[in-house]
Parts: sequence; structure tokens; C-alpha cells
Amino acid sequence: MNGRTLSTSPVARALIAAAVLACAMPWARAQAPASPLADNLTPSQLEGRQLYGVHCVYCHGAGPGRAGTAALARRMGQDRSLLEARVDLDRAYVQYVVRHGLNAMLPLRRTELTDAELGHVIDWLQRPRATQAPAGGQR
Amino acid sequence: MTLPPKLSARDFARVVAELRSIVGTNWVFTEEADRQAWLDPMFPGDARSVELSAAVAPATVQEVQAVVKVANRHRIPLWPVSTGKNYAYGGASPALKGTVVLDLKRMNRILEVNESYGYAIVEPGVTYFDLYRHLKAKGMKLWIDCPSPGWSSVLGNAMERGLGNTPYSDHSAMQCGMEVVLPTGELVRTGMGAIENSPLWGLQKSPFGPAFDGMFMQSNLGIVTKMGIWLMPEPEVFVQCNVRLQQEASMGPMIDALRPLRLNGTIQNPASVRSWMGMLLGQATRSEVHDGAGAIPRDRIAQIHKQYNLSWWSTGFSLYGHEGVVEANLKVIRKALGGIPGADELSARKSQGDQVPDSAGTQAGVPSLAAFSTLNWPGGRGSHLDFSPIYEPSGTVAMAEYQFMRDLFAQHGFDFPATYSITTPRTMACVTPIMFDASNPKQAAAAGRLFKEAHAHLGTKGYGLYRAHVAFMDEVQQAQGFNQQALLRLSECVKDALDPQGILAPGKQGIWPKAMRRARA
Repeated sequence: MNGRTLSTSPVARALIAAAVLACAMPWARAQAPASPLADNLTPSQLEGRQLYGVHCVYCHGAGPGRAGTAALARRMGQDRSLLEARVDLDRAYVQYVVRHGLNAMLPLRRTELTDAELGHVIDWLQRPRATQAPAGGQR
Repeated sequence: MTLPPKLSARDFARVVAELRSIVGTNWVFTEEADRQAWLDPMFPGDARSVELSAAVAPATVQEVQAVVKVANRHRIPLWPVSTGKNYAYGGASPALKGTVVLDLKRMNRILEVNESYGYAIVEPGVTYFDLYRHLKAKGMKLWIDCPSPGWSSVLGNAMERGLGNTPYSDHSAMQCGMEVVLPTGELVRTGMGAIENSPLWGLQKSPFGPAFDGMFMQSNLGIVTKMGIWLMPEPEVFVQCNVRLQQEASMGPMIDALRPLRLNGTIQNPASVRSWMGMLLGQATRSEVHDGAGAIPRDRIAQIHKQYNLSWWSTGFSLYGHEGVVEANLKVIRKALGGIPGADELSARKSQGDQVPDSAGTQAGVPSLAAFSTLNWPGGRGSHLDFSPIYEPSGTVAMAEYQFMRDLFAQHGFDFPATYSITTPRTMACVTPIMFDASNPKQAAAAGRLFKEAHAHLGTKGYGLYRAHVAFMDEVQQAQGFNQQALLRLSECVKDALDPQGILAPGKQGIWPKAMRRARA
């Protein structure tokens, strides 16, 4: 699925969101959580959410056995351990960490996640939220 | 800038231009910022001592062949990787500085899955996650068998003779038919793939005449671009069993009790006995458990066991198949394991179909990256160097080796997170991660020294490693000394015949092309 080719009408977006979720269902346990805001997402954010479920969630999802979430909980506290809930992630910082790794995190190469795809993931992480950012959210 | 051996910057620029004309401008990586992603972040020493000069990522077999022809023309060493996730054994790192990494990740098609016959044919870039999702999405009642990291390549792991945890755990044994680009660029299919359009590629391993598949495993004799892999039918029931052992000395008797069950097929998957240290790695960091330098002192162990609810050992295996058969086998197993001193009662968790929990992990062929939680243990750039000896499945041997290695690891300042696993009915592996902080050069060097000393000990007993990090391939190869390294000399003879220009993965498994071979005394 290529984000650039998607229609941006709200109906189309809702359909795409439903399709993405439906595709995710059989193995939904490993996927990014469904968002009630799905129909407000841009095609790039939708694509990013799907890519996050493929490339990031195994270490940065919620629950036990997630190495990245556990590491962030130790380093920054429980409330900032889940990347998808964070509102303070800077684009250049995420790009750098994904390409170079950080601590025990291993880098992702451009052959497995292209720059365009990484851009979608960051768009998803930076999607607008229904609520205001929590206080003290700066990195 | 890092250049291939004996090549000028000007000539290298010409080579890069030729490669770009084959795979596209964006798929040749020469800038330092890009190349660093193919270095091994877990290298036990200076990863740049074997730094690549470029990475090239073809998308088709024809592009692979064209790249190989360029490499032959200019004598450029090529190091093929499937997904390049062979961490603890070198990641995507070549053995020779200036090598061009041939990254096959973009070749990621699942070409066929046959549910009736239980096989898949895949390209190198297909991960265990990919294949698992594919089977789930199609509703196919087949299980994969995966190693701990689910992002590994199905093809690459089989080529390295990797191991999983279901009855199909021996990946090289489950491989069936290959397509290979030879070092000269010629394309070959092995097994029944040798017959054009054969429906038997994924079914029958042997062709008419010699079978060469094993030659392309842990070797540098060809680039495998397609592979058949057998997949297990979903069992009617799955029963995951666990027995905790409350005494350090209980491990040996447990191995002896498991061996006949494994040999006669009552237990069909690798039966593992994991140490408390092995269980603790994923749950805590070292600084949370012990703030001193060196291995955790023995007088702390009882308290740590209590704090983290650990036993000295935890035994794990599973049963697969028809409910009545599994129940009958479980009865036999309970009886066989009942008398082991210090053993808790066996716990058995039955599930089936979609109810099999994700927590069953690799024993149910569920891929994850949960094992990476262990990387948080050392702190800093948490890394592991795997020391993976093979033994006979004997309790006496296991206990003797455990005591020796536990003390040796401690002498070098490392904890010993051992798991003794009867991987095949006749072999016991002890895949042991040496956990270290790669940003600490002293610790990285100490990990390397420990590896060498532990390996030297194996040699005195006639044991060896099933796999080794690229930094130690020469010495592990040299340890196969029968008749003045006759096996290595055979490999070199084949190497020279198939790869006259010596371009393919020089140094892989300690096999070097003629021009780079040091004269042996």
C-alpha cells in the first residue's frame, strides 16, 4: 500500500482504516492498538500505523516481553515508556535512533524500512491527539 | 572511505556506477552514515576492523547475477546476507575489510505455500514474522518453526543451520530444494527443482545424482535466492510442559531422564533445561540485581531466587498431536521425570488452534522479539556473543561442563546463563549468550577472551561449536584438525573450483580463496 496513492476523502479514509484493522485481525495481538481517531488520520499516518505494527511493536508495544518498552520504563518512567502514547517525539531524533540504534536497540536499515516508510511511522507517532499533551512532555 | 582490497578510489567509483546501473541509484549504499547500519553493533572488538566498503541491494535473481558478474570482473568480495540479523554471530558483518555486503532483504516474496503438502518456497528477505502473518491471513493450518528473533530470515537461518523449538526445529533438515547463484553468476536449482516446473520442489530433497544442498550451508560457495522449507500441520492439541528444579545438581539427572524420551520420540521438540540466570536475563538488568563488578557471587543466589521467584533450573518441552496420543505420552513422561531429586511436579498447559497463547512462543512457532529483553541486562549497548557448544545428551557431561563453564565465565567476570537443550534426539546444545556492553571496549575484549578460552577447552574434549561469530571463524575452523585439516582442505578445493576469482564471502567459516589463503605450516 502506498500512502501517496490513497484518496483523502473522509469516507475513503474510514474505509481504509477499517481495511487496515481487518487485515490486522488474524494476528491482532501483535498489532498497534486500534484508535477511535482512525477516521481523522491522514493516509500517511494510517500507513505509518500499519508499518509500526510490522516493524516497531514487537519491542515497543504494550505488555510483557517488549524489550524497548521495558528499557524506556526503566530509563524514563512508566508513563513515558510506550512510544505510541508519547507526544514529545522529535522527527530528527526518531530518524537518528531508528537508523543508528540506541543502547540495546538495533538499527533498521533502509533495505527493510525505507526513508519514505520511516516518514509514515513518524507521521503516525506525531498524529494529533484528542487531548492536550501532558505537562512536562519535552524530551 | 573504505575500499575493497587492492582497488583504487577511482576504480571503486566505476564499480559503484556499474552496480547502480544494475540495481538503481538508491540501492547502492556507500556513504558512511548508511554503511554503519550493516556493521555489527555486537562485535566483540572493533567492528570497523572488518568494515564494508558498500552495500548493494538487488531486487531480483537477474540483478544478483549481474552484480556477481561485476564482482568477478573487478575482483570485488561480496558478502551475501538475507535479512542481516545474524546477531551474536556477526549480524551482517563480513570477515574481510572492504567487502561489499550483498543485502537480499528486498527479495521478500513468499512464492508458494502448500497447505496440503506442508511446505513453503521463499526468497531470502522473507522473515518469520512475514511467513507467520501470511499463514494467519490465509487461514492456513500450518505452523512455522522459528528461532528466538522473529525478524530473522527463514532462508538465512536454515543456511546457518539455525534451530527453533517445535518438532521442525532443525531448520537445515527441513530445507527442501534451493535456487542458487553460483560465484560465477550461473543459476542452479537443487533437488527436484532441477526439473523444470516440477511440482516436487518442496517435497523431495534428493535429485537423480549427488545432492549439493548441504554445500551451500555455512559456506561461501553460492548465493541462495529461493528455498523450500517444510511446515508442520497444526496439531490437534498442543501441551506445553514445565518442570522446575530446586537443586543445582538436578540438571544432570533431568537430562538423563529426558534423553530416552527424546530418542524414542515421546518428546518431539527440543527439551531444554534453562538456568536461573538464563531466566533472569529477560526480567531484570544487572545493576538491579547486583551492583558489584564480576559475576554475581554465589552467596547472593538464594536471595535472588526468592526475589524473582526463580528455581535453579526450569525444564521446558511440549507435546503435539492427537489428544489421546498426547495424553498417553504425558502419562509416560510424568512417570519418567517423577523421581528426579529436587524436581517440582510437572505442569502441563493444554491448548488448541487459535487458543494457543502467544506466550507459548517458539515452542508453538509464534515469532516475537521477546528475547531482546535480555539485551537490557548488561546496560549500555547491551549485546551478546553466543557460545554454542554441542555435546552428547548425557547428564554427567552436562553437569561437568556446567561446573567448568560456570567457573570459567566467573573468572572472566561474566554470569553464565546456560540452557542445556536436547536439540535433536542425539545432540545436546548449550547456546550461551556472553552478555556484555558493546560501548565498553574492555568488556567487549573480555567477552572475546572468554569465548576463545571456552572454545579451547572444548577442543581438549573433542567437542565443537555449531555456529560461531564471524570474528572467530578461523579458529573454530582450525579446530577441525583431523588429518591436517583435511575437511578445510576439501572445502578450499571446492572453493577454488566454484569461485576461481575468490569473490564470494572470503573468510566465511574460515574458508578463504586461494589468493588470500595463508600458507599453513
